[in-house]
Order: sequence, then structure tokens, then C-alpha cells
Amino acid sequence: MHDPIQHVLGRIERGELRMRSKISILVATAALAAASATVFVLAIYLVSFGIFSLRTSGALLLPSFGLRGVRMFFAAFPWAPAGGALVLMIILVRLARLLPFVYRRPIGYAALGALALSGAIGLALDQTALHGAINDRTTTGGLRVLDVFYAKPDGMQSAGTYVGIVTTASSDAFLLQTDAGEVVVQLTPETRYPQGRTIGNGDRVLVIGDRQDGIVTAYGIRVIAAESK
Amino acid sequence: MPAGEHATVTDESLVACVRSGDTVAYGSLMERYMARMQRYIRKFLFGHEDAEDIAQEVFTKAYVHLNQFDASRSFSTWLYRIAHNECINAIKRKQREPIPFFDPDTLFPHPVARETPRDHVERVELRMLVETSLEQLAPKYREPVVLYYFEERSYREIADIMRIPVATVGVRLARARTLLAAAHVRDAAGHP
Repeated sequence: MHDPIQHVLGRIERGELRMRSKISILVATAALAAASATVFVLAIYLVSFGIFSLRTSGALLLPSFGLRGVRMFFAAFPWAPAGGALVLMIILVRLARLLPFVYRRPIGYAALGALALSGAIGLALDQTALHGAINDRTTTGGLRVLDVFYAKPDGMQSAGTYVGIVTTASSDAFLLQTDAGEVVVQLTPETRYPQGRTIGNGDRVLVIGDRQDGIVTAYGIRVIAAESK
Repeated sequence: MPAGEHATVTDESLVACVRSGDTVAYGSLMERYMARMQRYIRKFLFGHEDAEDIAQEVFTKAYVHLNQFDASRSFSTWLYRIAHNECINAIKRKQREPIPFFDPDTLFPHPVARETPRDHVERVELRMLVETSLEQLAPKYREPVVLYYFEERSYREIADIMRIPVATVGVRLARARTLLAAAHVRDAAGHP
């Protein structure tokens, strides 16, 4: 009769079964830790890039224009990095669930923890010069591979949103220098201005409005913080 | 260590002997756990697979990966974890029952799920009752029932074996009891 114990012992004695060495286990553990760290760093990079993108494009100001602004905010939202960060966080949570203190608790805790941690570090990273420096290098040709992330003026304009520097201002119009070229912005009595603020030369502003024959009729204007971009 | 002395030493000490090249010590570990593993596999897979073959595979994998075992933790829980993986693989291979990729039960905390002294009495009484109805449970409910009622593992050990939150073990056992009670009522109505 087949004895499973003798069968396994026989395989060990004949050398058919060998214990994996501690070194190979150590290498596999180190590789897993390195992979987890890479996923974490990438997730943080994407989160901070998303925050940077929202801040410098002025998209965070769009909801203040009402329903139209909210619609434009969703159109301008950096969905690709946000989706990428979400996928990376799912991978990270699955990797973290190999650890007893993680899998003994609900997945929701691990997911919220990963979200809070990457959000906090992402916000902190956004305060540094990292993304500004990468953005400068993409525009000067040093990091062409990242062009697709950092330079998207056309995408913003197609959504009816214009970000740029005011070059020449008058009482009913101004010229706006955007990344995609110069735009004439026409002001009307219905244009929503920032309260207690006039638009002057050198201001970095966000304009939403309809473009016809090269002239944008402004529906609303917001001044973007001077330190942005 | 002489083979006769193996009976009195702990699993973890035997593992240390095996790691230093004592093959007989591994034989002693298998003697201790082979019958338990076969029983667990037989009940979890409900006789649809050869429990002996799978148990043999469990001990083969345990030997190969023995250096991965953390001696500060329980060897039996580690071994059950390997058996759990083998059973899940067997179910997936045969595609007999669906194994969900994600279970919402593990997502949020649950208010129930602590072991009580009453559980032990209930464990003995229910063991007889559930044996005949196990097949009516989905694998995610069947496994904690087998581990709790037949293998007498604690909630925490079951959580470690299945890698699910401790509270989820309690939730699944409570749901399994409800499902088994309903099945029992159905059976009783069908067979007066």
C-alpha cells in the first residue's frame, strides 16, 4: 500500500527534494521589497503629479464657476495619472496583504492607509521644486519622454479653458500668452471676475469662455497663485 | 536527535532539526500532521479530490520551503496555510466551484466575530450536524467551518490560514451556521 510519508522521505533521501536555501529566500524577499518600494514611489509620483497638474493648470479653481466650471473640472482632471495611481495602489495593497498585521484587518483600512499616506507625501512633494524642474526640462527638450504628461496646453484649450500670462490689458479686453500661443480675451458685463481684484499685465490667469474667430469671450476669470508653475 | 525523542519535542524544535539535516525529524512531523491534513483536505474538497495526493504535495512543498517558516510562529498554522493554497489550486484546476477574486466581506470592519465560551459547546454539538451538509456551502464558508469545527483552530489561526481579517472569520462562520440551519430545515421537510 502507498505510504505518503515514506514516499516523501524517500524523495528527500534520493535528493529529489531539496530545501530552498536561505540565500535564495532572502533574495526573493529583497526583490519583493524592492518591487513594493518601486510601486509605492511610482504611486506617490503620480499622486503628486496629479496635484501639481491640477494646481498649475488652475483646474482647482474651475468649480468656483458653478455647474459649467464643474463640468470643465472633470474634463481637465488628470484622469490618466489618477487611474495609474489607483492601479498601483491596488497592487500595493495586495502586496501589503502578505503581512500579518495588514491581512488581519479589513482591506478598507489598508486601502485608506495607502491613500492617506500617498496623498500626504504627494502633497508634500508638490511643495518642492521637483515637478517644476521636470516640467522645465520637458519644455527645453531634456526629458522629451515626459512631454505627454507635462505639456498639454491644447487639451486644456479644447475644453474651453485658457491658462496664461496677461501681456496687454485694457478695460474691455486683454492679450493672454498661453503655451499654445497668444489669445485675445474679450470681457463683457457678464464676465465673472475675482472679487476685489483687477487684471493687470504679468498676471497668470485662468479664463473660461467660448472661442470664436480667435477671440475668447470670457465667461469667468481667476488669478492663479504667482508661485504656480 | 534519536527518533524516539521526537514524540516529546515541539513542532518548532523538530523544524530546527530538519533544517540542520535531520530527515527523520521531518518524518516525525509528517506522522503528526498527515492524518489531520488529509482530514482537512477531504472535508474542504468534500471528497472530489484525492486527499492523500494533495496532502503529500503539501508536505513536499513544506519541505522545500521550510527555510521560509518563521520559527516564532506556529508550524501547524503555516502547514494549514500551504494546504489551503493547495486546496484552492485544486478547486481552480477543476473549475468545479467559483473562487471569487475579491470578497467584499474583507473590505470593512464587522461588529460581530469574537470567540465566546459558548462557541466550544456549540462546536461539539454542531460538528455532527454540519458533517452531512458541508457540500451545500460555498468554499469561502466551508473552509472556516472545517477549520473551526473539525480542526479546532481559533479565529486568529483561521485568519492566518485564510489571510482574511479576524472579524471576517466570525462573519463567515455565522453565515455558514445560518445556511446550514436552512439546509437542515429543508432536508427535514423533504424527509419526514
